[in-house]
Amino acid sequence: MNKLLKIGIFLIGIFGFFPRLYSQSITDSIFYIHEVQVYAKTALEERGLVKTHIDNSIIKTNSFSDLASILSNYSSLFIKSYGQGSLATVSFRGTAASHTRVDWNGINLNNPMPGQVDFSLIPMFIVDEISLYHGGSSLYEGSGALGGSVYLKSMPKWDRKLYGSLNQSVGSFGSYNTSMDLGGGKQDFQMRLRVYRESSKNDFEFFNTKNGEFNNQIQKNANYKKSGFLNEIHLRKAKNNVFSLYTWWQLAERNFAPLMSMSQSRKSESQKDDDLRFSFIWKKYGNKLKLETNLGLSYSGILYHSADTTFNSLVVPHYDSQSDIISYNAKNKLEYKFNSDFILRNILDFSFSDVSNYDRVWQTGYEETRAVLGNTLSIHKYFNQNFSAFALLRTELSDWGTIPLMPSFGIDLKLDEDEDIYLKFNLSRNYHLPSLNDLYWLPGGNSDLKPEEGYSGDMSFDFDKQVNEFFGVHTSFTAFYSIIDNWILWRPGDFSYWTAENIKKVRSQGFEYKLKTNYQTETLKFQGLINYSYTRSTNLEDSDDVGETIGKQLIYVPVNKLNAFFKMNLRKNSISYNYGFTGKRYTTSSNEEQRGALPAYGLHSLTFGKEIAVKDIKLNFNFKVKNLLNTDYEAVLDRAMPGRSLGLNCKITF
Amino acid sequence: MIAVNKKIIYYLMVIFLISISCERDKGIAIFEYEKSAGVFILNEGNFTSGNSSLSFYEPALKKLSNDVFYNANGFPVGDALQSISFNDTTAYLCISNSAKVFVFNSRSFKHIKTIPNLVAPRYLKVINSEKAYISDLYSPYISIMNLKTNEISGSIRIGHSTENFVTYGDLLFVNSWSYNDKIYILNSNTDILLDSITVRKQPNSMVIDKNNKLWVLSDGGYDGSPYGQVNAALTKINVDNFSVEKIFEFKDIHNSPVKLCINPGADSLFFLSGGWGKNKDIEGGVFAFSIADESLPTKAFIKENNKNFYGLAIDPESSHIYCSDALDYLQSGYVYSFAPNGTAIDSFKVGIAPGGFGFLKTSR
Repeated sequence: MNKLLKIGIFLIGIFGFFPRLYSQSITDSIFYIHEVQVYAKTALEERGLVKTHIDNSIIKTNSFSDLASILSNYSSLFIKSYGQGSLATVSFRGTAASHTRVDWNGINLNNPMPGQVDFSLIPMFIVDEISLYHGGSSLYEGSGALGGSVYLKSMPKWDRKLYGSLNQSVGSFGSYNTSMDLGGGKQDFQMRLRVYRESSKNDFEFFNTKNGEFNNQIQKNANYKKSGFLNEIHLRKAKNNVFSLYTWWQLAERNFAPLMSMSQSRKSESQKDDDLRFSFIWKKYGNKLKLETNLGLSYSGILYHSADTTFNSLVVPHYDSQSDIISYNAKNKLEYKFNSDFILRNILDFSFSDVSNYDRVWQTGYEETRAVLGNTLSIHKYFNQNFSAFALLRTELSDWGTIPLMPSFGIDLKLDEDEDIYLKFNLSRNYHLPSLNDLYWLPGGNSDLKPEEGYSGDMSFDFDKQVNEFFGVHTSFTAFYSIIDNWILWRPGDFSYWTAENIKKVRSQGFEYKLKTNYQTETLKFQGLINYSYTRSTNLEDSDDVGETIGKQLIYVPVNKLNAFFKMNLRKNSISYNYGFTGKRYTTSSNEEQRGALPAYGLHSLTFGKEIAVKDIKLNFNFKVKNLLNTDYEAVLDRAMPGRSLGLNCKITF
Repeated sequence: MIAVNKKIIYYLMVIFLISISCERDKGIAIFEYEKSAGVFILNEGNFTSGNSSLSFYEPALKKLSNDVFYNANGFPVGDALQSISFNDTTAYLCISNSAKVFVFNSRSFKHIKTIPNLVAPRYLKVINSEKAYISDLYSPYISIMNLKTNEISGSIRIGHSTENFVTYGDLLFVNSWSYNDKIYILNSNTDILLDSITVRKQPNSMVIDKNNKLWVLSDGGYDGSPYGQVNAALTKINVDNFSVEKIFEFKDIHNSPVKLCINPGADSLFFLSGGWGKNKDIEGGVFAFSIADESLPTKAFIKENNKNFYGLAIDPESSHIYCSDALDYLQSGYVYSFAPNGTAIDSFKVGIAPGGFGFLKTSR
């Protein structure tokens, strides 16, 4: 292991700091550009990929939200949420939560223990850009994301000397969010500080049908608070040479509400997440060569408690665990443009995690490390002005063992001379290492596990048209097909001890459809976005050979998912509407209708906004009604969800 | 004319609104109960999903009814249904992860009362017409329940988790398996903890035979447990002097036998054994052991084959053997019934993860 660490550092050193002198102008990606067009023209190196870029305007107006809500409302991804403030996991195309990779400014946010990300812990306030790579396209930046990957970026504003905003929001169930953003600098130096604090009593009322009382109850023990800051320092040594240092700290303390059927208990369950992340990025861009070096260091400390109180007020703990995760990563990205038709790309990456956890009640725990050294080499070529293709190969070595090669290739074809109609096709093979819990958890961890293997292909049609100077439309249709083998599942064995095994083979197929429209005049602006996904993610094989699971939809994966967003800006006022539809989900592997099938539901929200400008200062007010029709729904079995809620936020920007 | 029309419409609206508000609640089917001896099957469901359920099977009619509690009451059982006990026409459900006990009528399945705020209730033992004991997986106390008022009236401090009960006169034996190796002895008249017997690690079930010997089945702990792992064993104890008379050790350390049961004649023991996880090579199934046997059985009495046996019980009246198959724990399971000689009688589909059984007699 030490050897691997040394090799990793040596290689990064060689590639990252190799001196080259190029004195060309800076490329566009360093500037923060307001998006005017419906879509941005795809660069050669991203042709053939299925990528979703969340509109910057949506990100800006939702800075009080959390990442789970944004992805649920504005993309084809499916969010499984245990409640506001509680665990929220994301899946692409009917795959598992651990098959979604999330990176922020070069740092992987997946917790190496369960291998997944809790999206409710990622505040939108620090995020400036969101890109999604679906299916095999995720190999473009990394590995392990058998479903897809989410890339988050926080960025400076180079064109501003001094800027900032002060935000306050207040909402139902005792929810408050206060945040401040301050930044500025000169042509060669920028600094930005964002500070936030969010808290909620989360004591919403709900009608309990699960405990025999059939009455309205107030949700207990679901309160949470999050505080944090993001500091950025950017140095521009030369026009094409930028150093950035990011420091992100967050402390989240959350209580988790009991199941609805447990409301007559004195159970308590809480978690404290302490995260500190440093990201150093050095970008050096030239006419032919682009270099980007990332160094990251992160620490996560998680304290989890679960207990009951007896009749005589004795607290009986069930779990009392502490986890400490320290991760280092280094990445070097190189893009060499031989000419405008041919690009070579290479990413060399190394990551190391040291995990230790211990539960005081059960006296179990483990201390393990994971080191991964990988290299992704790809070539991208335009064969003529309408046809391009890429070939990619990722190789990976880990302290657990060697991973088989991960190849990918794709083509991008412009179907019409005049119109922007594209056909994309992509094939790949990807692997996902078992998480540290899968391997080492006691009881049940299985150190003989094999990595999960994914073969995927997708085909897309994209159509973009700027009809006239006011109106533009973008639509895309992507059909996907993938097979995931050796899917790791935890199953209870004798006497309630669960164990992890490579049990399943899953076929995930379906399509993702997106329609985006944009209409803009001097006084009126209209935006529309619709995402619909059809996902049939089914069991192909189960080595336990059990019952009626073959051909059945995976639990908690809806076949149909739709979201729609419409916004109208008239001078300084705005009104927007969100609709989210989640189809029926089964909670039995045999898809029984009469046993635990969660019905489909739709949620509506409405937001009214007003902007007042006083000299250089802007005042924005937003009034939002979530779950407008007070819909009753169950996202996860036996968990209460809030009805209608209101929120008001006020933002002062200068 | 217009005014009259308006009035008619108004009245029609009122009638319409009244009629729809009197609509019967959806989801409560009218259950028809026929008085016949029956078996309750306790479906545990998935931990933290709240999807436990109760099934009722009448062997004389080969008739099965699923979700009997929900259908009679309109609300579900809760999370991790562990056991059922009977007292005349009343029955008690220990719902372990919902921290409560339900008191209900065993004939109509109608809910009578909820005993809330327990910790993780496992088994309820009716001591006499006035009181019962409730064991707990996490709490160091056994709760004493007043059966007249259906309320908790006291507690006995054991200091460890407790599981099931076996009576012998005034004595009550309680096994404690979680990171423990003890059988606690209580005086059920005075509610006093008298003594304890040390057995093999993690005693999970016990029975008493016709010669008044207490048999305890221990699984020995799991691989990598901080409490340690030893071979599973069946221990024979003399209940008069609390001494261990014989220990039958299971050869394979990966064997984790559970669910020790006894036939009505109290001379044959049955238990579930088999590998889990990595250890699927051990032949799984229902094993039979006579109290006169010198060594443990090596072959299964009823082979599991590719099933996943999870629960086992023996009907104290008919001697029929019932075992449940939980499949992958994520779908409806099955129950198989056998004659005392191992011949298959019936099989039926129940709820998720069927683990426990309860036998109801009409003569009670």
